[in-house]
Amino acid sequence: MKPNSKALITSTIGVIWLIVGMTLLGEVSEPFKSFLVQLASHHWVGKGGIAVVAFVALYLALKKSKESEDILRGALIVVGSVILGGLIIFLFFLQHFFRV
Amino acid sequence: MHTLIGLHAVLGEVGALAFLWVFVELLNPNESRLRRARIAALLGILFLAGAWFFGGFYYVTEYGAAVKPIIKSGPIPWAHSIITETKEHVFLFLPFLAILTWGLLKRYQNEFIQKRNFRMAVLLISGLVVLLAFAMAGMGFLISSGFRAALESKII
Repeated sequence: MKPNSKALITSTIGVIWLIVGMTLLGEVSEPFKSFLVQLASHHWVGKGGIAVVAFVALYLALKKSKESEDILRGALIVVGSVILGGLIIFLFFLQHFFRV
Repeated sequence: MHTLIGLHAVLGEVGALAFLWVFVELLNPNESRLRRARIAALLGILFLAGAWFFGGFYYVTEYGAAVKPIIKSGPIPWAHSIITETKEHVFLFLPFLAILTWGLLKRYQNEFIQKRNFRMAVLLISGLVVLLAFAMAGMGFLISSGFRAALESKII
């Protein structure tokens, strides 16, 4: 069975922003960090586990969606999300370091 | 030196090279090159998953207790506070980008020969995997340097 390209691209974009969101939330919200620790004994393992489950769930939810021929646009959004998401994480820890 | 760190680094680098292989095969594709690209992408996923597992195991069992406090007490505490923190989270992007690359190669098979846009999409994502994986290696170097600098500052 061939994978659905739209579901793959959307799941990847969704999971990138989920990781960015969980990273920032884990730093500013102690209850959320505790929840991650309770979930998987370490907050980082919790984030990874949630990311994997979210990726699979998003893909399964979208796998019947109509595919687009314009996968280059999807790839550009993925690349943009990685660059912007990575920068947000880096800048967050940069300002956090200089503020503490 | 730690075996888990060695495994993490080697698997990550080989994973990056697998996606460099995908990138090169996609530059001027034919059926056999695309078949090799699919194999390379699948191998790349396995290597990056291995790097994730061994690096994660080391991070959870060793780094937090034995390495992080030393780096933070040394002359370049930002090696942990900025670099490790960024690396551990941005790394999580990689396995999903790897799966996306393989998934697109599997979905469109030989259509990459005719459709330049499809080719460009996979070239972009596999190139990004290569750059991101090598950026992880660079961050690993900075973290090791932070640890070494802390140890040296206590010895001298």
